[in-house]
Amino acid sequence: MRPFGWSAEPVGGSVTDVEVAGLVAAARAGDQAAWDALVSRFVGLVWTVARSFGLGSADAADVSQATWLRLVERFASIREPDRIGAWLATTARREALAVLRRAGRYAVPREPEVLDRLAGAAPDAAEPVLRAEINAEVWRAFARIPGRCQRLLKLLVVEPIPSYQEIGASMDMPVGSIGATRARCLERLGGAMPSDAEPHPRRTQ
Amino acid sequence: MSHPPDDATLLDALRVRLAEPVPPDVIAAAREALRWRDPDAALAILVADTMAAATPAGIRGPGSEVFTFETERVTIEVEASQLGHELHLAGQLAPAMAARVRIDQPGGGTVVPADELGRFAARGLRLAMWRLAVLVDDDVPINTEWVL
Repeated sequence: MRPFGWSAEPVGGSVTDVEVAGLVAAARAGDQAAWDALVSRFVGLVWTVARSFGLGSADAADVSQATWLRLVERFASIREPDRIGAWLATTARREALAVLRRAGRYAVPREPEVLDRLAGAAPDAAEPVLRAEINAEVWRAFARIPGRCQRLLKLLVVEPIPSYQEIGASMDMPVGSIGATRARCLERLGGAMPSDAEPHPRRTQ
Repeated sequence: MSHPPDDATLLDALRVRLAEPVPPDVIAAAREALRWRDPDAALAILVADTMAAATPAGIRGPGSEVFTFETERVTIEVEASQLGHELHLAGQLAPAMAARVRIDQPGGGTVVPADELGRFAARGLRLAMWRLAVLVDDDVPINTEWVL
């Protein structure tokens, strides 16, 4: 499992970026395998951006399809292929907002639908009881923090982990402010938990 | 005495609940998108959309909507209307010209003629994303943007 620590500063010119740029170039020339690799790398990000606006699965599927078709349609005008993740995130955000605008519900993203669906999920049976309790408390706290923090934290648990550029594009937020916002949202999340949430309760002896 | 969980514990807990697998049909549709690659075509940009300013309508609700696409050579105006579970398109090329108009939708395409006045229509389409490809003799095709 991937370590959950968040160490990724915006990456510029890393091997991964070079690889992504190469995949974009190959896909642009019609290479299906390269395209499939791009889809594998970013399909979770695009889907999560759509879902983070509270879209149901049918609308989120439409947003995802529109985003990928848009990339194929705009191949010729992609100027920074190494930043294709941010481009996809921006496009998915715009398509999601268009769907919401169309349905006249922009002002009220339907977060509760997602929360209701997930709230019923049973913890993994094999999970240690203590861990399950902490997870349940974190989950209850998540419902109490602002929607924008919920959206950011959802993006932080996407696999593979999006870059700061991609997060910024998803949230329409300057890259420079993501670190501080992330810290503030995690602080709010921790603060929204019951004060007796003690990860390692000690026995008095 | 208590300590709030550290960031890693918080994020790990969220991952347990929020990690949502992308539905297989969504992944399949994303992979399929490359088949619509058309590097030789000119792209007609959406420059006006009656729905952008009007009441809720569009392919998922009742009503109709007019889209205007432009390239340097041609303007394409299309009215999209929903009737039951079908999508109807009726459009006009300007300047007027005879052409073939292909309506692309995920899963397939349909070709209809545009007459000497540049008028074309296609009925009974699926309610799904669409774009038009305008084909005139040996010229490069003109593709509109995809419409959701």
